[in-house]
Amino acid sequence: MIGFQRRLMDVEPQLNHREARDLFLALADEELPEPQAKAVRSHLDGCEECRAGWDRYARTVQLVRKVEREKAPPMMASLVLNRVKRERRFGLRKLHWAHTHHRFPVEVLIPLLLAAAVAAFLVMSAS
Amino acid sequence: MSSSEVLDIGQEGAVAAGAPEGQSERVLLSRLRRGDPEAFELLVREHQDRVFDFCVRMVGDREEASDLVQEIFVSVHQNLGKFREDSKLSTWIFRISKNQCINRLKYLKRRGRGRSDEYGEVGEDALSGAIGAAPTPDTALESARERARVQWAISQLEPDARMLVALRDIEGLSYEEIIEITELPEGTVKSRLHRAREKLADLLGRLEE
Repeated sequence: MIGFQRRLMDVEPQLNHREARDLFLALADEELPEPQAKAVRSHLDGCEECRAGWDRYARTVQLVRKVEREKAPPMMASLVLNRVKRERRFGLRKLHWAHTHHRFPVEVLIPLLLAAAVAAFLVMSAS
Repeated sequence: MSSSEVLDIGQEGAVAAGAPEGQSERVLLSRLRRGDPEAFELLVREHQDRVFDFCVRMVGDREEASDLVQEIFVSVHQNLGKFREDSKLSTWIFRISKNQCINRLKYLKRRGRGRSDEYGEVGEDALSGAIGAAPTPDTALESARERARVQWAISQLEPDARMLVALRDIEGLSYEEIIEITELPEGTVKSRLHRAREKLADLLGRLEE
């Protein structure tokens, strides 16, 4: 029985198209254990469509990995330090937080303020 | 982004404990906690390029990214006292960056400044930004074109997918770090990244035709 199981493991498992394609991620990351990598390669050798898919996939991953990185503008550190100083000096931490997370578009904010001013004027002139 | 989103990062043990990198990070952290301004400047200079690149990939605009990087480091400065040191400092900074980028994308979407589907609109803008005004040799022009094509294709992905491509294939982070940053299960990270790579291959393939 043990010998039979060993013989089974020695034989490369046959992958279908879906199974082979699902392993592209690990193959591109070079994280696929050798027996599985061998099984994918053997599927690719016999399947033109999956081979073309793999070539495109691998080329894309390579292209993205070697794309030139964007560099921060030269003054970035000074800009950050000034901003931190400004925040500390004026104690605007909470206001800044509110602005970042709840900021209203100007086209909403201005009509709201105008409406509030008109309402206040009407209330005052009525009393 | 709530402060808990920024701070409650990974429970796994200290990643770099004992390593020289981990040791220098601990020294830097203790200086930062004492309020040493030079230490903070060092932190910014050390991480600004990676954070900026990540932001450009996410929002697809250098000016927007530049503003975002400033906000991210202000947030880092404000929350340093709450960093629990159970992950690498860079992982924590990326997590703050991710949250800030997602918030900014939501804001830009509300303002109607979403992505453009046509390569001509975005790609050529990115191209002109990449090559600048100076005369460019052929190889530099081709490299700028490639950058612009890749950036355009990334901008066509959903924000989650964009983030995974940026973290894994551009920043070269490990899956463990990506899981800590995104708070997604490993299977989700891998299946989304796989789909994102397939879509990128499709988009870039169409550009080549």
